[in-house]
Amino acid sequence: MPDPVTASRPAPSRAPYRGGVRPTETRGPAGVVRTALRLRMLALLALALGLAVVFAELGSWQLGRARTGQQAPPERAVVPLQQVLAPQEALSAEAVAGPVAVRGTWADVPQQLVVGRAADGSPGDGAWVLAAVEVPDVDTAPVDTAPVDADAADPAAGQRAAATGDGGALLPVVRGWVPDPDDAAGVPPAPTGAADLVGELAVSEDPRGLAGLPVGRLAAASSADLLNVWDGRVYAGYLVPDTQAQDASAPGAQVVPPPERESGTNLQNVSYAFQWWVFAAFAVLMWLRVVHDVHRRALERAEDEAEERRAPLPGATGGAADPEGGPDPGGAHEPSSALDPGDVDHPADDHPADDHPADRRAQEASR
Amino acid sequence: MSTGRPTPPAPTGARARRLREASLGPALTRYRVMAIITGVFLLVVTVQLVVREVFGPEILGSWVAIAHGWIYIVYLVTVVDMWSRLRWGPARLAGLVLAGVVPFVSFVVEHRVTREVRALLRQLAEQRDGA
Repeated sequence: MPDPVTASRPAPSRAPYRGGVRPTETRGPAGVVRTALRLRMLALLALALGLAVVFAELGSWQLGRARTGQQAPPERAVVPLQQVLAPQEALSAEAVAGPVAVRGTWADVPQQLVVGRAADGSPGDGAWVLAAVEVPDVDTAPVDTAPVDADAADPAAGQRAAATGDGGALLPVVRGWVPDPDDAAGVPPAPTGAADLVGELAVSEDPRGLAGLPVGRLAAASSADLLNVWDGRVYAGYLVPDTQAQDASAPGAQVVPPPERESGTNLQNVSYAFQWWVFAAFAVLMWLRVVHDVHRRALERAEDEAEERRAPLPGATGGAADPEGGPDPGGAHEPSSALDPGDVDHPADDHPADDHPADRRAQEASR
Repeated sequence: MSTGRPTPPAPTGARARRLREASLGPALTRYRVMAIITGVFLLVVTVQLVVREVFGPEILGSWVAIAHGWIYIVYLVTVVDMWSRLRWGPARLAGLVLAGVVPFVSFVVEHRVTREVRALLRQLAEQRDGA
């Protein structure tokens, strides 16, 4: 907006305060730079850069998580399942960070075929064979010391407990992959007796429901879906046993490779990483915006003051506000009490409404 | 954000001129739309988080959290746009930024900001008509 008064100011960047132009009121890039170099703005810059660094670090951390898929040390020692995972609880990073040992008994529950997948879990025509190991809540080292907490008062319950272990929770176990789920002979029979396995845990897949599937078939290796077909508590993850423990004896059958760590949280972490970086850029852009704003505000103030010098506000005439008591065409060179240097370095930038020259003049006049 | 505070004095002079030229109405509408969408998604994310902690499985999957993150960024863009047109201070910006991540607060802040900006628009219109 062209303003004859400000436009005609001679060499504004070198004008002294008393000359009516503060350095930060200079129009154009030079004035913005002067505004930016004020102590207050530099402090804000430090804050913005600090925030940007923190945000960028958080982004890198998220990307790291996405890359390693929470797999902290790849060669963690084998630990008992119970040490890293409780039944029906979400899998922690530690649970999927390495192999676990599972000791229990093969549960007397119907084996399930997870259809529509290749051996590695990608879409395909074959199926995973899922059985369940009943794992006691506390790791009882040697399995053959049969649990003796069978309820003596209720022989039926005792029998059932003896048949399935000690009432522990069910851990879904991948027994292998079969090419043709319709070929009953190709599916290995459900195992019985003691189970002593080592393998990798995987996070339960999202439930797909049982609708439209024949009995004994699932669309996902999902604990939520398994809860509908198996009685009892089910762990929120499944075990892919190491190669030897899987049954690939049937023709065409294959072992299922260990779960890929990158699945599941990957996309979310990558997304979060980018979001943190956007925030980091935001912090710096915000600072530029604030500087620009503060500068613009100073220009507006100067504009208002110039206008007032040409045509003073009715309430501001007389007193210290206008020593000459009238409009002055040469006002650009006149000192104004509203431009008191003591006030220059502390403009209330956060409260522009309190900062208006008219208000200040009124305050000055009332002193 | 300013319930107890009396209405700020009407802006005057160059400041009022710039505010009238800043097309505040559309900026306010953009902000309101994004504030409501962000608030709703934040509620969904919160409910999902609670359900997951209490019952275990996720109901809707991780896409809700991913979507909320990006919607929040669009919200931030509308916030900065409106904030800079209104010439508000850094403290107001911080308040608006944080309002988008606290469940329910986003709705309250949206309501107050709308009331305040509408009052300002009225003041500016009265000034223009009076002048």
